[in-house]
Amino acid sequence: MINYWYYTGDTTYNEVTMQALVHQIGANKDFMPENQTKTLGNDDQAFWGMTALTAAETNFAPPPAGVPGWLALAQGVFNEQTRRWDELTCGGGLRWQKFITNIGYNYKNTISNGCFFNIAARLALYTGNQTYADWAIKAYDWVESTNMINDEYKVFDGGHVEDNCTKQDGTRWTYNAGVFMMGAAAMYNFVSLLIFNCGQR
Amino acid sequence: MRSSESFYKDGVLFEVCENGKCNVDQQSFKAYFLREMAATAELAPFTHDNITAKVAVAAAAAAKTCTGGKSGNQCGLKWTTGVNDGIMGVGQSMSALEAVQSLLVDKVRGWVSARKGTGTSEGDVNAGAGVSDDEPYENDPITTADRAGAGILTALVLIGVVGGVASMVI
Repeated sequence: MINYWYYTGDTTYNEVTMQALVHQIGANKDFMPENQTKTLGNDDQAFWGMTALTAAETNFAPPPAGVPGWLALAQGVFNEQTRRWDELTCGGGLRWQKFITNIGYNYKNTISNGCFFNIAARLALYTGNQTYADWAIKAYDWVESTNMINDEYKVFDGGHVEDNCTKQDGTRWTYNAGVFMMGAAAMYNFVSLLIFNCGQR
Repeated sequence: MRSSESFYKDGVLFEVCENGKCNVDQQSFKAYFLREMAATAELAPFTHDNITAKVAVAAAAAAKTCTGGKSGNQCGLKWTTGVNDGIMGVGQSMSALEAVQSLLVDKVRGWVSARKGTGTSEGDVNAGAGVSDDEPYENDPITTADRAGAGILTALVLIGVVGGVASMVI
């Protein structure tokens, strides 16, 4: 809906879009509202984080007073997920689910890690802060190390911690590939701007 | 880009589950893919022509399926058939909308950023710092009313147990 406004200039749905986004923020201002904690995975939280980033990147109207800015909301998701980076299994990566009681806690899925990569890359691009770029690289390298993305850049769906993520779920969904493509494009843009700035000096 | 060539059937974008049954989430995947493709075209210009060509085909194919439902303009799931397949929902609307509006990617003013001095969204590098992962939800303090309610429930259970045992003994 943010893109609808961004592409068309039609503001008809901006108010309802704003309302939906703000409603989802939750008490901790991290897109993990209490009514969703039982089912919310890292990927679900990250989709809201990416939406907040889109709002920042397209200059969507800022949220009402008392609510953190779009950038701050995305940074909150990023900061929380960096703390969930788990090197005890598969040599790194995020698990699908955040809570041990949820089905999928043992699954390190591509989309959770892809969304994290996407957010890190776009935060680097928006803020110019290298720390985000470092995390993006770290996330991408880990995904490649587990063969979730193989040598031909085919993107699979994820691996289980029981076998150290060595066996990939071979399904190839479009959105897994897309989230990495966009993150990589953001990194390309981030680096080109660096090179351009160096050239100017 | 090259590895995603297998996502197209006769040039039209399709999701692997469309060979069988897609769940509600999966019905929206094409929306994210197209959103990410359009953003890629904007961020990495060398991909632009390839992407806009694919988006144009997707948009035309998607639009052809938007003939269903009561309104007569609800979109179908499969874009490869050229007709509405009767499988309609929010994911299908999102996907078709994203396909069509992505055609406008060249008309926009481009992304802003704090780094370029064009983006003004308020940030907080420490956001989310105080949130503990161990306690997803805080419990409200226990009140007298809660205790009274718990007492009544306990009493009812006790009566049930005693009554049940008594009826078996007698």
